[in-house]
Amino acid sequence: MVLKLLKKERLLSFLERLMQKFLLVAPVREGNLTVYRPVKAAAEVAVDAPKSVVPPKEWFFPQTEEIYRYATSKENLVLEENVLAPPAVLFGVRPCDLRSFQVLDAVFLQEPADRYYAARRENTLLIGMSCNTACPECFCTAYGISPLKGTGADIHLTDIGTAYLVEALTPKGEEIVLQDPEFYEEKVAGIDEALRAKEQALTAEFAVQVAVTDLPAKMAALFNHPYWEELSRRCLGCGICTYVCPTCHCFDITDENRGNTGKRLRCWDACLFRDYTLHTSGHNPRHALHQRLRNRFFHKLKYNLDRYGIEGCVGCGRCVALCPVNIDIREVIATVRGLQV
Amino acid sequence: MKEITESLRREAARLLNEGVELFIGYAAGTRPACARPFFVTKPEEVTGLVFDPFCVPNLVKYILRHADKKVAVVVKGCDRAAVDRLVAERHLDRARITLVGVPCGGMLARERVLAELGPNPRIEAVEDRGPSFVLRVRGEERTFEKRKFLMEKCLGCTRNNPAGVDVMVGKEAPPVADPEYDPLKEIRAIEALPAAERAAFWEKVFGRCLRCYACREVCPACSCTECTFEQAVPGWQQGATWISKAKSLPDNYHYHLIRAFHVAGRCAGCAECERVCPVGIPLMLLNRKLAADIASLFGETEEDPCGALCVYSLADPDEFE
Repeated sequence: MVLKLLKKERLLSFLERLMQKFLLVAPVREGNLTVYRPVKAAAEVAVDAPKSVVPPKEWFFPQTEEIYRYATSKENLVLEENVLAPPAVLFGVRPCDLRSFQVLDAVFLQEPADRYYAARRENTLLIGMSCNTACPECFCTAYGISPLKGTGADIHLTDIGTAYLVEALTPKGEEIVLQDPEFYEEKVAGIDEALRAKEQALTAEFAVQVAVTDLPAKMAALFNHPYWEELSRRCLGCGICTYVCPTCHCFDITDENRGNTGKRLRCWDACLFRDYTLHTSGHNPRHALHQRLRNRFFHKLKYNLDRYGIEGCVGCGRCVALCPVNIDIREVIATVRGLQV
Repeated sequence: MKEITESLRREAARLLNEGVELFIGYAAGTRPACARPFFVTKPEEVTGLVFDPFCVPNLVKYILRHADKKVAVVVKGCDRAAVDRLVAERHLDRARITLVGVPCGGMLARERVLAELGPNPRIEAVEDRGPSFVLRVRGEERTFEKRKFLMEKCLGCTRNNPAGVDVMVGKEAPPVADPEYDPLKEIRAIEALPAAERAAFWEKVFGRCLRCYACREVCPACSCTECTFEQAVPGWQQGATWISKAKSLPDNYHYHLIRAFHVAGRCAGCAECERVCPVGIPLMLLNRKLAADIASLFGETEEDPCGALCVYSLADPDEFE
């Protein structure tokens, strides 16, 4: 691992240097919102912006993706596949979102790997950014994530006042850092203590301390508990929680035909939607809202861990902050752990 | 707000004892300055009920899910109008519903209150003092002038004491409307823009729509059991769908404009669509504009629960051409 310091006033040149070789995808401000977008100029990047509403998973797994186009004639069928994966830097990814990529990797990179996701993942350099503030809805530490650690990133930046601590965590990241030694200064003593204090201050801002021990076993025993129906009473059945979730990955494939040509699209789906898992026959194994809401929580808190060995929630708090009727996964976790089996 | 909350609990217990099977009200949420819909079936559960200026959700749509039950529901003035329309459209049987009206001193805009109090305040008590709300935070009284801190929908509200309810709790609330508030100010500003800038404005806001359909799911006027935008059909029947599953600007436009026209004349003005939107699309601009147009074309339709655009009459003098 290479450790350096990057003075804050040099960040812009650092980003501009990256833009010579890569497409820069970074947080920008749009009104009151933070969104990850490809930027045209490094100055657009909102370095200290609050967490994005839509997580950066969008870059690897876009909400709508054309898989291929086709054209048919009497004689033949022409397929045209277009895997879009330009060399890119995804900049300013928070530790919770960095973890989410590990969750998505487990799904999309298992054999046979999803080549659209895999190509973008392969061609993207990940630059993480430690949190400077915590939201009251945050609870990443419940999953062993530190708001100041860049696990999963190629390069990770942490604001230490007048400079960023730069950690090059992979060979890909080291290459980038080592190519421009003039940008950096050597790490000075005392930083580790300062970071520990900062981590404590940040996690003290979490409104709720969440514990997840024994959760999957508890969930399994409560599949038929009336709690899910009770919880679903206020659920609107909208797609907010799934669309803002950094680990949700359900999609739907549709073909859009125009005469002899058409395209096959992959679009995000949401388990709260009525037509989710609706069969061609008209039967839906999750026809009731409480079955679909339960599915979401089982997926986050149990199925993902069972299937891939990694938790399906990263504690980013987006669903908590944005649910219009205050369905709060922190409360669900506490309730489930407290229910008598 | 202690008195309203207490009399609300008393009335809820009484109604549940008298045969109401489900009482729909509000409980405190897990986040500060946030209330949640709360469903009570037993008299001993009424202690969870609250009413304060954070009880924003419109609860009326939930009645549709309980067509077989005797339901009582807490309504603010703005929520109340939605009931008449659902009854007129025969979605609801008025005889089955007990409307519990709450005098409303206006709803506080959560983000603006938290900007003053910090992100995670412990609000211990709320008092309505007419032109302002006083919040007690860590023993300290903080005053929030209504003119500055109410949600926009409240600034033009003239119905904060709901009429035509079965039970009214608490004392009548003083008017909340700000006489200086102009609901069309922002709309006129947009209308005054050159066409290209107007288009750019709507392209920007519709462009970021996630099509999570929260605006539709929360809307009491969106009462269709099957939405025209939600007809799952196999690929070979794609011509029959009204909208692509793809998130694209034309499809987003299509969804929002069709929905705005579909609820035109039926929108109760509760502004829930705008509140729930995770990406801040100013949907009430459309709804207020349509309401103003309907009022100028057909006169005030407040008295007619069906609204100007939902009436079928054999005596209609206009022929289809």
